[in-house]
Amino acid sequence: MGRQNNSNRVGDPLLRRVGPPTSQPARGGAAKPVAEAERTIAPKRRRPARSARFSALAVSCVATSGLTYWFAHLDTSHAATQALSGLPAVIPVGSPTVAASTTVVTSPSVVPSAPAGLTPSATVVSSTALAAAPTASGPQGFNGAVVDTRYGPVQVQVQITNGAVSDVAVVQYPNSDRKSERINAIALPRLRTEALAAQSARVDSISGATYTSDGYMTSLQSAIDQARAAGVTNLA
Amino acid sequence: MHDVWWYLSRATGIVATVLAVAALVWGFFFSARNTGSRRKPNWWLDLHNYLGGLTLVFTGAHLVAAYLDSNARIGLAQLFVPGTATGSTWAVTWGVLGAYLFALAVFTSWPKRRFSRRTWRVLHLTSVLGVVFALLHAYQLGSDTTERLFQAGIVISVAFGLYALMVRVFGVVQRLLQR
Repeated sequence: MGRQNNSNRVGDPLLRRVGPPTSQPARGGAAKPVAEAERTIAPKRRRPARSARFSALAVSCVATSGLTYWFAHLDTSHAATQALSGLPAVIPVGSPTVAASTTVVTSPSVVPSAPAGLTPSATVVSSTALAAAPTASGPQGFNGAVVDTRYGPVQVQVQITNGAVSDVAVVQYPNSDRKSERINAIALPRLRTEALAAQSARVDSISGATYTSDGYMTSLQSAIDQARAAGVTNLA
Repeated sequence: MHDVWWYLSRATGIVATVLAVAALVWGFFFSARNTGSRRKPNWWLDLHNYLGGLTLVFTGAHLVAAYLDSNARIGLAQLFVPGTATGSTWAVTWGVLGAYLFALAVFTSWPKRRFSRRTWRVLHLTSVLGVVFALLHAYQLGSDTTERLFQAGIVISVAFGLYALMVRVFGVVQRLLQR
């Protein structure tokens, strides 16, 4: 400010031509009116994408609220219970018709007739051949090996009717946390459908549920092996 | 109702990832001369900056929700120190690293003039890696990874990101060839 006044005093050619600013007193004026003038002249900060910004914020907030509502609506436990309730029940195991055996296997590759594509993550810890007491017309159930996966044990029961796989029930599956429960609620029905269609344990892994898929296939294969050993089926 | 933090952490995580991809794509399109976006640079750059900031806000909300979700078993150390999570260590680590890299890109954009152009560009481009980490984190740890819609979203995000990256890279290559 002092500098401006000085330049005015010495005779700035530009200032002499245009004259002093209208809001500024000619000399020795109070500082307050100048500051006010500067405030009014100062350009407003521009926000070029104002409407786009608002839209982005609104869409994000609406999407978050919508997704939260949707997730709450499709509650995991509810969805899992519903999905798994569609699976067949495990046949009550009566007195075993096949001698129970316990085998400790460290790698799934040495499981007899293990399906191709198994990862080493699936480790069979015990194989107990228990079969439901055969009935005249009903299916016979064979429990597969308990396969310990990274997320928990998987065990299935194959149900054989007239030498064919009529159903596959799940005895146990990883459900210690919500995520596992949710994943398996989707994976297990699909694996069952595939196994029934293939009539074997050679099914594709479910994306996002690889460990459960591997455990499922290993357990199913061991159950089929036991059924074959009992002479109930000749499936491979 | 006790699962509300879980729902929120999933929702904010998805929205933050989408916003991060959008900011990335917007940035690539802005910096690529052959998109013609430089004709209205203020608008384009303003929205790019805003999307980056918004991503960070939703990432913060995601972290808070994950911390408050008792079932996630995530503490402050797991939130801020990579590799400290006991379960799904790598999946959580990708998320932590992604958040750091994205924050670095956003916070170095404000004092941009304090850095040399080269330094700033390197710092800013780390956000690309940040987005890749975020997508990995979403794919490996997301509770919805088995959902077809979620998988489709990931594929679309990657496709958009790659397309924008290619537009940018081909623009650079084209200019180099013309010299």
